[in-house]
Amino acid sequence: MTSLTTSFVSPGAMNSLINSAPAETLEITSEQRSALAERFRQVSLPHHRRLDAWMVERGAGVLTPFRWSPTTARRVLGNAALRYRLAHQVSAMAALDEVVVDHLSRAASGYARRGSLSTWLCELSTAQLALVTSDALNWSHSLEEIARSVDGAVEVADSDAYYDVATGRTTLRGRRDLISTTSEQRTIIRVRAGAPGRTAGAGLRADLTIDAFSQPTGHVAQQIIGVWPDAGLLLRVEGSLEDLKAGARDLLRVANLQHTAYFQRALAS
Amino acid sequence: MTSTLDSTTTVLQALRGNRAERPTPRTGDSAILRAALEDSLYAIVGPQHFFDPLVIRSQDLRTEPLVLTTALHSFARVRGIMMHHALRLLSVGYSFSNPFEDLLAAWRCEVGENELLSFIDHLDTEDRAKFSTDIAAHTAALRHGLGAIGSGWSLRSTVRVANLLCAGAVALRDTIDLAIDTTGNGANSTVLLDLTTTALDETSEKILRFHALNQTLRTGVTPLRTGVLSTATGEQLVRDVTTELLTQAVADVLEAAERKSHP
Repeated sequence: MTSLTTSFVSPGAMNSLINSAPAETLEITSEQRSALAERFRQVSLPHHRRLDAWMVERGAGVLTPFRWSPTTARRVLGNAALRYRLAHQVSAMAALDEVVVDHLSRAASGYARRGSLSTWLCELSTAQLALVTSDALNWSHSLEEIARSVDGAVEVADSDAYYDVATGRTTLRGRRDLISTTSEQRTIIRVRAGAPGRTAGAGLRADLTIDAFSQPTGHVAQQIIGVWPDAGLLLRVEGSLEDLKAGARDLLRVANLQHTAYFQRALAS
Repeated sequence: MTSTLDSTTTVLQALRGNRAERPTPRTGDSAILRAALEDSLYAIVGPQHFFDPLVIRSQDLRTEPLVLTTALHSFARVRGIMMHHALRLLSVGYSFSNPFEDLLAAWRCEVGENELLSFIDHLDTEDRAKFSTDIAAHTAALRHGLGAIGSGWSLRSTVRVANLLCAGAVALRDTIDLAIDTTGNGANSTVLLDLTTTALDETSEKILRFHALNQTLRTGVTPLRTGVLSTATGEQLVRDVTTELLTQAVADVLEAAERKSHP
């Protein structure tokens, strides 16, 4: 049976969840990696694809094409700003300025790809850049508030988790914002906007599974905690074998849906 | 309702008050309010809303609906959106050169294209100039009313709230225009600000209470003060968040739920 615990945000709620993490530690074996790769190979597409928890949550729903906006940029900028702030002990605004200037200089020096965040930021007016900064600052403050509510060591994740299933021409992307680590356990914290829907648990399980496969050692985090600050809710999924299996099944289901849709389109044309 | 038209105290000064007099954060209200709301709301909405939640927003607190002509309604909506964007830009220290054009560019960057932006694009030169002056005046009133923003304050603009009650059968949705300081830093220093482009009325007080209730449910900590600033008149209204104020907020929500579920 899979695990999903819900609690309300309150002082001490996050610590209480972290401290009650399961003691057992799982490891992904090379057989399990091979089995996953084989399953993805069976439903591969002629081109490369990337799957993530959002696609799991949406199921067969049509995803709108991605475009940069203050909303889509805030997590990248806000996380980087908090990481910089914690490393250099500067104000949140100064940290964010550093991050934005870094992106702008990357675009100006020709190191940014077309369609990247740096290129988009470079095209904005000062008022638009201020709006982007405002949204990223909100995100950074929320993330910092969550990080400070954890008693133990907590760090902003360097990057999201990526696992390349080479034979299946598939890259899995697992989002993670904060990582709380003690000698015995690792907890992934994921911050989300809005209110959790019915598929929020499946999304968390997918992120947990991808994180586990992306670890070279195969160590599975003891738990993943999803924080919905807008709704004042915390959802926790434990790093149990059942949850990992369910996470992998959900990712494969999305891959299968894409596979079926692609070949139906090909047959129709 | 008592509002203040005081040019010597800015709304942020009134909200933050004297730092030395701030009490310790109250953390017990949230559970009591949630229980009170859930008990009464379930009796009002019943089981029929489990797959179609009853959503209560701040505009639902208004007993008499606003009646405006289509054009006036569009201008009012655009003005409201632009002032919220102005607050977001001011919160990061932006200095306006041409408020109307700056805010229009910022808004377009966020939403791409929509019906209201198209409405603005199709205004004739005279109407556009008039509206541009109107936006400049509201922006000036906002800047003056807010006052200086401290560099060490933790500001969050446009804080969205979605409190789910009765297992998701009721959703309290709210947008707090500005929240200052964070919870968990020893003293209770979280203050909330609402911005309106109309004159203050009885509903303004209900909206203040609604923000305080939502923030309490969302964070588990009762905010210190809640206030509203009108960019139309420069009036401000600030209230301490007390148990009575939150109890009244619960009554406002129940009244709105009753009106919406049994129109």
